[in-house]
Amino acid sequence: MLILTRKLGESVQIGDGVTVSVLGIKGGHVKLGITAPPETQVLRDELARGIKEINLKASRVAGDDLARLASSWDKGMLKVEGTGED
Amino acid sequence: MKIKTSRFGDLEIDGGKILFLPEGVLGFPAHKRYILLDDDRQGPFIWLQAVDNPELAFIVIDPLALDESFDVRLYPKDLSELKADGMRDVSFLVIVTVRREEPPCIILNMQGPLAINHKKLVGKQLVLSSHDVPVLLVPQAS
Repeated sequence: MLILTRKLGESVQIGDGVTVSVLGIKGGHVKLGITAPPETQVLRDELARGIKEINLKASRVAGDDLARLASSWDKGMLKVEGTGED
Repeated sequence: MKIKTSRFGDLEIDGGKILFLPEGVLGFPAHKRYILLDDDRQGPFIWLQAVDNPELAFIVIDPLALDESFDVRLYPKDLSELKADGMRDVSFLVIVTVRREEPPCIILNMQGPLAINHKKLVGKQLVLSSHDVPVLLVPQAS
């Protein structure tokens, strides 16, 4: 792993179009500004971990759950929530 | 071909319909082959059964069955991993978590939809950053 020390306002360039700048430091938090081409996906590291946990929970589904859900759905009685909605 | 499942017993499936997820589903990287049990589809709900692990299955929904405007932006990297020529080759499935409560409640994993190239039967689970997560307009209970 390459380890660099940067001061407030300084940046690091990665490859051809990615720049990471230190915009602020406060307490234990570092505010980063990331410039990247639109085809480059930038993700918080913990996102994939969260999805993994949701998948594990979802896999504990019972064989009769689908029929139960479908019947509640037909009766308009199914409560539906989504992740990632603020 | 025949596969074993813990929920549905032995199943005869069409080997030509097996979905290949090269990275698996997040948390289950070892299992890369899945089959959609279309015949058991009820409403928007479909079983996604792992071919090589009898115990691994998910309930998924076809988001278009709930909301015709459902759409996800794919990166060129995703399209190439899916071996897709364009968005028209790609459809989506959303994994459902069932909450044990009455009336039943489900949570749709909108942050990690499965993108499927339905022509070449290749898929991957996407990880969407919060501003890319689609909002699914679910019809209200009547």
